[in-house]
Amino acid sequence: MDEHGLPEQDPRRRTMPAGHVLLAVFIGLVVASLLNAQGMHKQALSQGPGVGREIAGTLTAGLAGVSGIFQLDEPRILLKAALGRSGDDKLVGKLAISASKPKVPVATTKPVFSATHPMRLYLTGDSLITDPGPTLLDKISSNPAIKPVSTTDAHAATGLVQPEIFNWFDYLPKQIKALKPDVTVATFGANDGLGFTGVAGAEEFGSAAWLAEYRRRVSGVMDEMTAGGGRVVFLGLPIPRDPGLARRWQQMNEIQQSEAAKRAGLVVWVDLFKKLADKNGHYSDYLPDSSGQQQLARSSDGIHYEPQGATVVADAIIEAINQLVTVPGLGPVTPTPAAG
Amino acid sequence: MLFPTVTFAIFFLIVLPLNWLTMHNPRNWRIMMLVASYLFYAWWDPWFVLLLAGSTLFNQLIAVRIFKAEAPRARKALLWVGIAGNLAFLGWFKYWNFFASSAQNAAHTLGIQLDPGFVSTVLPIGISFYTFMALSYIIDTWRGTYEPVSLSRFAVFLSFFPHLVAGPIVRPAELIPQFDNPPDPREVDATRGFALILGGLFLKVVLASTCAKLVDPVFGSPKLHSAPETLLAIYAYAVQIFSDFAGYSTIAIGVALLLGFRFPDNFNSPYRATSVQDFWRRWHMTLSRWLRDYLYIPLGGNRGSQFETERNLMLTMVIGGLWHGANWTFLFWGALHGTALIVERLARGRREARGKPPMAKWLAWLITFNFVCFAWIFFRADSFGQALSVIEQVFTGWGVPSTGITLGVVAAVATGLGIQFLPVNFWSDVQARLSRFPFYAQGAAAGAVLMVINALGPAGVAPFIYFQF
Repeated sequence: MDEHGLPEQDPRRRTMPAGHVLLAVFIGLVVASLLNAQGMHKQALSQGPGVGREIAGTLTAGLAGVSGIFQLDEPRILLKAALGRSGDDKLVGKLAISASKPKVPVATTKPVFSATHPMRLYLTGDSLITDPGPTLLDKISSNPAIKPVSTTDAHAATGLVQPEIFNWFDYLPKQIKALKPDVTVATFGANDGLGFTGVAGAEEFGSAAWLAEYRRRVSGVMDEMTAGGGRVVFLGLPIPRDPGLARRWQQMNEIQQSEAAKRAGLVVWVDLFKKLADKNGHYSDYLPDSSGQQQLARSSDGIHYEPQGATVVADAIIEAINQLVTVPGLGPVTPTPAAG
Repeated sequence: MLFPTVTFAIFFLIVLPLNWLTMHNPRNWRIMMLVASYLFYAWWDPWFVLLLAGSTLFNQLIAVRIFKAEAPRARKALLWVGIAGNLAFLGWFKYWNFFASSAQNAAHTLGIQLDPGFVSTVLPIGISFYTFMALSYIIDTWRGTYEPVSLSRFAVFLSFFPHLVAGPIVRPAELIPQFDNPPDPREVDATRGFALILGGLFLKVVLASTCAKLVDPVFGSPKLHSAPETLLAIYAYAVQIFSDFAGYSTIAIGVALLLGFRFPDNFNSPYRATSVQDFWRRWHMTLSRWLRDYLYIPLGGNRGSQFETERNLMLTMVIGGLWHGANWTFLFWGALHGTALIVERLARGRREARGKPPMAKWLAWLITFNFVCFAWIFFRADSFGQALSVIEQVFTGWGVPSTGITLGVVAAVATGLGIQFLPVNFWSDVQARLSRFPFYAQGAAAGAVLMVINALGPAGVAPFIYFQF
């Protein structure tokens, strides 16, 4: 240590001139870029539409091409395969969606579950399910009439707009087939306030073409989840802090809500704009709990949930499940006093 | 801008040559570094830069006034204005909602209606770190151990991008003199810089992210997990928080080294500590030093009665706990550590008085490590209820399948703990050997290691935990 308590340089270690440092950093980044080209290309395309995405996408496509020619991507491919994650860098070329008509006729009777015939529950979606999912699972953990078929299956930073990053239309049918849920709780849309790129053309957010395409995808994802006869609790987007984002999310919520209405008895859409607003209908970081005590509900980004927010959403899910099916012991939830 | 991103790599590739090209002219260098650091910070939110600039101006004004004032009372008054200003600044953004909701809830319990109003704003990243650094500057000036420097020097000190968002908490006397005595561009300690950056990335991208895969679901819904899963998650969180924070600090120290600047060390194998006191000499060392020099010692340190010493210890640890976040769980975590320090002190005194030898090292380590892991439960949990559920599950969750225990998580926990016990000179020996290779070989090897780190890390690396502090 020197007189300021800072670590001194080890005399055994050789130094290098600043010029060599620059070159070494440059060489390191070029080598890393070539070896990681596939992953970087996928990451570049995961950005929202815009000039940055275009530039990054073009540059990394070139890098991936060069890397492929010289087989510099082989070590990464081998390593990923050894880890059992070969699909990590895969890009989806086309988007296949089921027909938008409901496959199952509108349900008129509520399925009944019991401890001997428990309801299979599946929770999935983007990062907005990350906190409410475990909160809900914790609340229902002692109910023998409910059997969660997996832990919360969240895929952060994904949605219906960018299947090239994570293709829910490919993933969900496999999950539904494998897990056979009676009720699926899903949330999509938090990362969807973007224009469509690639697979669906380049429609800007909010245009008539965008709204039509988004409706087709929401409708498709609802059909995928109900394909095996299961019910769906479709969580609407919560009121966010940013007013601009709120306007976008309201447009998306309207589409989700109307598509759910077409599948009454099979799909219940949950209005989280209302549930997470304060008594004046505005966004609030804090919301009252069941005893009226103010608790932190939203995280610092003004989007995700803190425990009280997760509790409000979990209670809303229980309410929605009760509309779709009959489960003993899954009683009505005490409403929070001032929240909407 | 996050360190483990392509954006930062491009940013650094531009700043690094500019840094060395302007180094011979300190004034130009300061302008360049200030612009670069503000750009780095503005990447999150341009408004943050205004807050940082405001804090810089306020603290510089106070420090200069303290330095110029001759009457001790005036100096002291200015110091208190400075401390109050900084705490109000920090309090408004970080603690207002917490205290407002606590007051409102207390009043509600008493049947009184109270509406203090809530602040609906984003917490500026790194605010706790740079506010503590600014406090060092004005307190050192008041003590007469440091003279205020020019506004541009202070602005660069406070905003210097390698430490800006998550430390280490650097003192003015450690960094500002380095601005005026630029490093020799012919002798850059680059191998150590490369090794630290890659080591930090490995800790964050591979170890912390892998551990999070078990920790998040277990703490999210404790009742659904078995006792072995819960136990492993508790140890995994110890590795996760270490890898997350030490990872960031290590990258920051490495980045600064490539720019020619030295930072103090921030972690020294904390999980090999054999007492809680030892732990705090190894964990977040720059915060521990800060709390010791600017809080514990001014409170009286261990100069007073036994009760006063214990009170000072407890106050320091509770405030240290609250520094980490506006929640009662953080405060309790600090109080747990404060209690442990007091108990250790009493036990040591008693043992010495009786002429007994110190506890066997392995036993002291075992107790310390498990205490630290136990306390982390409260640090990680969102609420006391969640923390108690996790603890309860360790005792009641037996006989349930443990599907969450994967080879990846076990390997990450074992690696994270194993590296704490490497011989003291292991890394410096490795770095000394690597430094003998030519620069192009070092660069190419670093590139290959980056690929391995990137491929090993699970998809979706979580943000740094310490950013929220």
